[in-house]
Amino acid sequence: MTGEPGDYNDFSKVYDAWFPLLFRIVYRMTGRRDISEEVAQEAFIKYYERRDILPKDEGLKYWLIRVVRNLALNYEKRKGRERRAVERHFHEPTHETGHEGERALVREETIQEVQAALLKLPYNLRIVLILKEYGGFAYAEIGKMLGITEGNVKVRVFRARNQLAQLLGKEGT
Amino acid sequence: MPLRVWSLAFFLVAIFSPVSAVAQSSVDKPDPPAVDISLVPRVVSNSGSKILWEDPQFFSSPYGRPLTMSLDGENFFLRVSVTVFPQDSRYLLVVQQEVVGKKDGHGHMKTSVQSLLCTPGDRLVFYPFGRDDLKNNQELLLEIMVQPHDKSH
Amino acid sequence: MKTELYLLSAHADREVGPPWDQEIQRRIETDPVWAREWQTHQKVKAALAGLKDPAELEASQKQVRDRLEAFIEIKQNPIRHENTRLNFVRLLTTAAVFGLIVGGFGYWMGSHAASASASTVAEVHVKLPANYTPPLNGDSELIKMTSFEGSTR
Repeated sequence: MTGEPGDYNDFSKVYDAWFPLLFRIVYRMTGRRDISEEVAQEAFIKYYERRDILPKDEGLKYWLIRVVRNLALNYEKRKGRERRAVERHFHEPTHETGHEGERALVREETIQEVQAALLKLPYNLRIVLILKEYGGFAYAEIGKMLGITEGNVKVRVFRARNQLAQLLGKEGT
Repeated sequence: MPLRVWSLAFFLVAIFSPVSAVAQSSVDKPDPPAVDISLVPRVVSNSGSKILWEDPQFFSSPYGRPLTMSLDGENFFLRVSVTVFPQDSRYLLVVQQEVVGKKDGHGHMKTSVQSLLCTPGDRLVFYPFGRDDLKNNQELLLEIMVQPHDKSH
Repeated sequence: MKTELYLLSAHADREVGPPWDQEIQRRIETDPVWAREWQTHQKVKAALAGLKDPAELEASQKQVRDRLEAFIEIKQNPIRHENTRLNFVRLLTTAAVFGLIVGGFGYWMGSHAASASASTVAEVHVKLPANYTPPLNGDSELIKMTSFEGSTR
């Protein structure tokens, strides 16, 4: 899913190889183009300033992912409480009005609905799922990047998909 | 000799003038921010289950400084001022509003003042025209959240 | 190894090797709980796969590249100042003149600031959508969402 830079000493090649991956991940994490650009830019600035001491192999990709993960988490902390408060109050009419039957119907989701549902997942579950689905990483790699065990990754992916299923009304029948 | 004396005099003036200027200006330095406030005006419908419009605004402010939001509507001008005061470990929030109707040039004006004690992170909602009990109508609300100032912003 | 339900997800991602993948497959085919969970995970994967790369990716890549190139250019070619030989008198005279100007300006700024109010009002102006025309006779309300404690005047 991701290309390799070819020459790890060439900043431009590293950028072209991995910008799409980083942007994609942050975009799925935040749903915002401006934040995704800001985070990716910051990550590459940090890489440029430390390029002499950073790994010159796949380890660099994992380092960049950790940086965007932390930057996206900072954004999440700044905005997450307000966003969750909005969604808790305004986006759950089914719980208040008892329209559970409607959510159980099979329906085609819009792209916006799936992205919106992703954003409702807790951060720790969302990052793992996004690294798997949109980063194409193996569980072992995800565990290494996030500093958790592979078993932990498996449980989080499972929980993330279950919660997403509930949000999208996709429980199997 | 006189040249050296003059040079020394000029040198001393050069050193102390900026120092006095800094000292003078520091007396009038504004208070540092104490709280981060988010004010989010929204137009909602269906008892708040659908958001039709919103325009979030964020501020950092010291205590006691009013933050004012002027809302220009189709048939009204609305001015809402929010001021935060510390009260033990909580915040006293004072909300003032002025509404002026725009109708055939005969604007009528209404003012109100309300206050509420809250804790950091509490979600407060101000309804300038009250809450709409008829579920199909739209209503304007201002969501307010106050938290301790985060210096990393 | 006791086969836990959560391994279904890993199985959907082809992350479970033999012989456990066969055991999981057997459970899917024979256990209705496993079969239902398997369907759920397949549907979720399909929904997520429907999210293609954002259309703005290429434009963003170019925009960020431009910004980074500007950043690198500045880093690689910082502005250098030539070393100028200054003699003692020139240095002092320059410092004195500069100090007088800065000091005078600072003093003037300081006296100016003293006359301004310390509590400058922060104000934002917001334009509401044209199709929102509420009745203006309702009473405003300020409520706390967590406990529905409110203040009405």
